[in-house]
Amino acid sequence: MKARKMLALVMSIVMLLSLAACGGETTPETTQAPTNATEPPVVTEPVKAEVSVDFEDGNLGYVAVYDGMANADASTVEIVDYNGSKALKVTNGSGKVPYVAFDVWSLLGENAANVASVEMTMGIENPDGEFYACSGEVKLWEDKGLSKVAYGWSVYLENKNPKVASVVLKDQAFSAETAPLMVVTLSTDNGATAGKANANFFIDDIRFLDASGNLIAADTSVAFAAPNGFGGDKDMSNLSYLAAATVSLDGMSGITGGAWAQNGVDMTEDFLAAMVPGAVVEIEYASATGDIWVVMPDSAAGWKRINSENGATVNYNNSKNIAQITYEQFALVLGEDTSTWGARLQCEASGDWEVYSVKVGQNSGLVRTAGKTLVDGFACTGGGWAQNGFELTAEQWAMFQPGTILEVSYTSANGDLWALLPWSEAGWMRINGDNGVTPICDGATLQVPYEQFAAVCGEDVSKWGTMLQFEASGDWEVFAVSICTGSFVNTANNVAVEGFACTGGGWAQNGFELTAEQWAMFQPGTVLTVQYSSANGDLWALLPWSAAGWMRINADNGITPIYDGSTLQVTYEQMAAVCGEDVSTWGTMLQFEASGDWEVFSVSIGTAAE
Amino acid sequence: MTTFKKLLAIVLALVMVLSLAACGGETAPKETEAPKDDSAQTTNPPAPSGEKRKITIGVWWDIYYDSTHEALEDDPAYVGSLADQMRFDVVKLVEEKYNVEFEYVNLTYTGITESINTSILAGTPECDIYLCDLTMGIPAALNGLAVDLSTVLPADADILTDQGVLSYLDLGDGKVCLMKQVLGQNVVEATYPLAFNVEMLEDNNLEDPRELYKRGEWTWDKFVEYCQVLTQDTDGDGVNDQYGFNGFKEDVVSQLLMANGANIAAGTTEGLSSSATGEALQFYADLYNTYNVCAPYPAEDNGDVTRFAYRDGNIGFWPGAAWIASSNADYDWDGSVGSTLEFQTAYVQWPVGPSGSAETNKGKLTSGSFWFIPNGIENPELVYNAFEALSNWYLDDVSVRDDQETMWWWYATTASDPDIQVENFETMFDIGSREQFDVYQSLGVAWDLEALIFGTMTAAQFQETYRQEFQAAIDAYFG
Repeated sequence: MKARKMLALVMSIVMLLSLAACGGETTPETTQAPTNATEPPVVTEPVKAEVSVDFEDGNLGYVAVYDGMANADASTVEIVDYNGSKALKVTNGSGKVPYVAFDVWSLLGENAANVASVEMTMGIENPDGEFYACSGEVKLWEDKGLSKVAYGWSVYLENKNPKVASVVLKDQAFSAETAPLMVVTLSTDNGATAGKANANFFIDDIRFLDASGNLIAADTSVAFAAPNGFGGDKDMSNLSYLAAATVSLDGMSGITGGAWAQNGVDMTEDFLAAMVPGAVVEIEYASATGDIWVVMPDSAAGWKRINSENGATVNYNNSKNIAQITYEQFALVLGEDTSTWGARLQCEASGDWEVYSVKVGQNSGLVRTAGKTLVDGFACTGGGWAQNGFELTAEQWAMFQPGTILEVSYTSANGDLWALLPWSEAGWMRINGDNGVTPICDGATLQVPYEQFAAVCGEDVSKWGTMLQFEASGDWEVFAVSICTGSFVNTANNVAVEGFACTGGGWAQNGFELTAEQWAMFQPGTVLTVQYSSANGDLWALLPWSAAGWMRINADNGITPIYDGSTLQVTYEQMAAVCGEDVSTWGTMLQFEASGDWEVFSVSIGTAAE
Repeated sequence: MTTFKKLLAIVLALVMVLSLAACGGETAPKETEAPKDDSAQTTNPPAPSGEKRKITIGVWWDIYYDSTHEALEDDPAYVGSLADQMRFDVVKLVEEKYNVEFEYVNLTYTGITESINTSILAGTPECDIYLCDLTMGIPAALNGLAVDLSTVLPADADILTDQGVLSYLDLGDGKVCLMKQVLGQNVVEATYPLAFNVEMLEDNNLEDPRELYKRGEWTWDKFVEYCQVLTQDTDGDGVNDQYGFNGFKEDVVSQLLMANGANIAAGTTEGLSSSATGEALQFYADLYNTYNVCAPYPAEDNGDVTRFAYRDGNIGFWPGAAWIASSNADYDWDGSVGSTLEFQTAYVQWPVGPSGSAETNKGKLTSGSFWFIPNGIENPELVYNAFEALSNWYLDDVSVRDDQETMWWWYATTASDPDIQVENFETMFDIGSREQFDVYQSLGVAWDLEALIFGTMTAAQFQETYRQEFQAAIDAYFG
């Protein structure tokens, strides 16, 4: 941008001088003061804020890649030199659709509500150097998901690459709670369609304009504030989070099959080599019946399904679009020696199916956290082996109890990050291998359980000191820090309670009676999973007809509900702690309640999985 | 394909060609000789001279062949057919005849839209021809972005007369803007003839409705009469278990509208409130609530339940389609699973409503993609002539254009009896030849047809309920 501004300034002067040399009558009128024609033309300084975001400052904290869609690409974003200035480059990672989110509400503050249109310079490049037209969409993030309304952008001619994309919002507006983000995708890639590599694209000179066409300035020092349902909230219910280093079986992407039809590819050497104890094969898919599994047709053990038919467990998330099978489950059917497994890996389902990706990696140990409280303003950076952080308040430290998890959103050059308690009474303490603790992280998220802090600095939080810092072996940046009350339980064998959907106002109760058969499912290890939304993010269960009385399953009775704004889990053990272990005394009515308006979409009863 | 099927295909193709010839000369083959120089016919060919004119054709999927292609194998779908060779060869023929070069440029769908809305409007079109769908093409045509070919071509041009190579979409404004290549598959695809269970009608001594149609006696009254005969309690338990009619609501209503000469959004004024539309909607409601000849409508249906219910063998009439029949391999069209139906399905045109006419009724809602030449380019006549010649790669030989391998599926999928296959194809072709321009299904108006089915709304109430919504949507659509 700076180079271009300077060039524009120089060219303006040259143009004016040359025009003046040719004769005054061709001098643009707009450069002359109307009341004094003899004055020389005024060359105005470039407007300081001619664009809202130009990427020249190198800040990128307000951008995030969304991976919550089944077709979402594992893209990377960085600031690079492009077309004479700095620009955001989006590099395709896995051949799927990049979803790049801008936290418009954080960038523009309350002025974001006035945005009527957006302009931005879009450029594309294919790794082979040839030009192939591309197009994509711009959407808003609305109500925990991408808006149905989409605005198209395209770069379709080589001599118009890059070009300005213009979006005029139609009956939509950014808002703090429901629509804080703008998400840019690249969904049509002619190069990829023609069998070439996937295109990368560039975004530069973003202009947020109000209804009068006035530019709205942005504060690019802000950090991305992920709304409910964004990014890491890809439905990982019942699943393990894989560590960053995964091996993809690229040939499986886009493979389809009819019901009970098998289709697949030969495994690569890298893929097979990654199949070691502790490994997890993750399949992103869609199937008409919700299920999918792996078939190994050429194994020494014979043509084998890796599913319950042969005693193996396949874990599915609640959305039935991600399945995971551990190495141990493969070994249960095929034996532990991968050299006897054969070359080919296929998928199969009981209904029509399509696979979007297959990868294998190690379980990172990350868990799906619940009851998240953001530590406001906790964002910082550091170089390799440099520490940085903030003091937490007494109230924040008081939240640390057994079961509590500190969750950190970050990036780092080497993928690692760990916490530090430098003012601990135990001394300057790294919460990492130096003190016998293995950090749980995957390159984007670090989770530090209370128990890890306690193992290094003792169980008494008051002796940990008030300062919380972070450190990594390479340059790092922390975007957000949250304190979570606990984590969700992985469940299996979930049975939906048909028709259980209801709403309520703040502190109002609503629900249904369950049948005797449904109540009979409640045994030790049983988990009630509730999909919901609520104005304040909270929700808890009620057993109003219990023999123990009208009972809330929440803090009123010493229970910490496990919820994250969209899912609530209530375990048998929680209910039993409040109403006793005998289910027959709980009454038949199950209700819910929250501190603000709430809606329950579905209820299912399952069992805690291993 | 087995030898038998190849033979069948050849016989069927011959039958088709002969039957087409019997119907009128304009669609029959004119020439079957090898390509020759006068093949790229034009009513006003310019003399090749000077620098070659490059004709850029904006598309959103890759199309072969153009002047940039050097070998047949450049097309990944090349299979070595005669059609492939002729598509490749015609490029050189047209290049030389008109002193032009062609290039299909894949702009992406979004890019096409953007190019139309910006470059044409600015007076400097980026392409000489655009591929478009109705969503793009109609606003472009109505807003003067597309060349009205009737103003630049001589009166005897193909598209203004025979429409043997390129036909046009009549938007009712007298202009010729949106072109479509005439292909057999384009005609029969997306047709929904009225299907019937042949054995059920025979068992009930009902005359073949195709004969009634030929005699001009296939009317709504007669249709109701048939349906009432077919609606029966076959097991004597006091409840009907065989029905005269069943069908997915959207499929049925679109056909009843056309059968009564009605439309909803064929122009800038909504047609929902017309008396012809009211008659069609009331007839639909009466089938369920007055004549009681329909199978009970399911509480929830995305189309699959009602579209495939005929397979139980207890439905007399239903909206048929080749794709519906092939979905469950009704008649073993590829020989892989065997016929899955024991009865034969025959197709007939929909019965004529009181405000309709067998001569003027349309049979198929216009759909698919079109081409147009943007205003602002140089010498649109030359561009049209070259494009018409390029489109006539089959050199007027429709047996090559509608090649047997492709069209064979359209026969074999709808019935197992070869005679019925041929008749069904002819019915689809007849229906597909009579397109109704009506964009109501693209307007995004969600109407509740079940209100008519379940009798909670009369046709008049239905019209009044949605009239303004359709008009507003039409205003937005036509811009």
